Amino acid sequence: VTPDADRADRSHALPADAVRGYAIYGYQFAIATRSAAAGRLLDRLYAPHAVAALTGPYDAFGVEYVRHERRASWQVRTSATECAAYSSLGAALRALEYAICSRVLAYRSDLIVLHGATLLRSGLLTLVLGRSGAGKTTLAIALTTHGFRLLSDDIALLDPASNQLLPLPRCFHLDRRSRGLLASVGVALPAAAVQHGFVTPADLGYATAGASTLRNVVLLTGGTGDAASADGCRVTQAETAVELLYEAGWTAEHGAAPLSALAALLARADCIRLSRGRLGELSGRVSSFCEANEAATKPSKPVPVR
Amino acid sequence: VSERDTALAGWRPRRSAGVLAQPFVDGSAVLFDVDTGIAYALTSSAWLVWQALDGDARPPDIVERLADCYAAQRAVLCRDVMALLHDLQTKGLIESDAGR
Repeated sequence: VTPDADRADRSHALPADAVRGYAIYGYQFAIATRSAAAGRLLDRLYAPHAVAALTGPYDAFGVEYVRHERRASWQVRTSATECAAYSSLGAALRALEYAICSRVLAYRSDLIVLHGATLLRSGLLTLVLGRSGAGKTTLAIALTTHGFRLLSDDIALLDPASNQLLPLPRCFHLDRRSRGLLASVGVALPAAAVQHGFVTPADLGYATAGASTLRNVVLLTGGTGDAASADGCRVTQAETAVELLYEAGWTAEHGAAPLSALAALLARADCIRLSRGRLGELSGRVSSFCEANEAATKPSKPVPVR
Repeated sequence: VSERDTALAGWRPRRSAGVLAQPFVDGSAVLFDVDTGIAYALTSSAWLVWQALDGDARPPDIVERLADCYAAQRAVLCRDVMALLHDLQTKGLIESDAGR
């Protein structure tokens, strides 16, 4: 990792093996840490974006365990002048991850921010959307028990130039209730990740998207829990787009590009709205819904030649 | 069909200038009001109506165009078209030059 005079923070001059370099959709950054535990957790989140060397400007972050007399804390450095202390490694890493996420979004302001979880099964992309608290993270994780691989939670970026969906690496925010619900449907979360509250897609079978097509969109309303059975209804691509635009906070200043990009993204997508229901029921419903498209995509059996 | 609808039979509604329209592959469409920043979803039939709002077509003309595409009674089509036009007008998505 070679520091750059413009953006690099030279204040933490650490051995090369304590500095990790990453590039997420062109945004380059380095994280310095002497903590093996922090390094392992960060690697699980950002490993797909690791680079051997950073070329050009990059931001420098640091996370360290600091002990001053009787007090000890985890300190997160987000710039040459900004440093905050946290009582636990998990809290420190979540703050660091949030800062990095914000920087990526600021750096790539040309991309359209979509709030949802992105999953992959049988080469087809599925997007789980829902307003805050709807339970999309819990549902997305539960879907891993149906053979889905998680690409990202919370945020995916839509490139209006290529109409590609770019998952943004984030850790999952799981409270005790969500962890309980997930355990009830057979999801086993790694103990270390749970201990630090830093569960990542890699902990649940991360997959890289490649050039995949979005075929399924699930609009989740209400929460996942103990309520009555999940019902579902088909919704149009336009209804789905309006929901995406609302969540993205799109305004007229963005021009018409987001609309046409959404039309291209949803061109081959079937969309369904699901409301409250038990988590096992909901995930089964989504799995069945997606199976229809997977079956339609599979090549038909070759006709035997006599 | 209400008396108001009858009175509006000569109305030639026109799409407002500050509305972006984006069709989707499944036939639905999104209207985005640039002034208010609000997006609206249209069904495939509502999208057909929207496309007809060129300032020349009157509601009965629009009903006739829909009748070519949908096997529904004209009275039903007329009621639905008028309801949609009122809704679009209320939202400021079409110009309110009724009775022009």
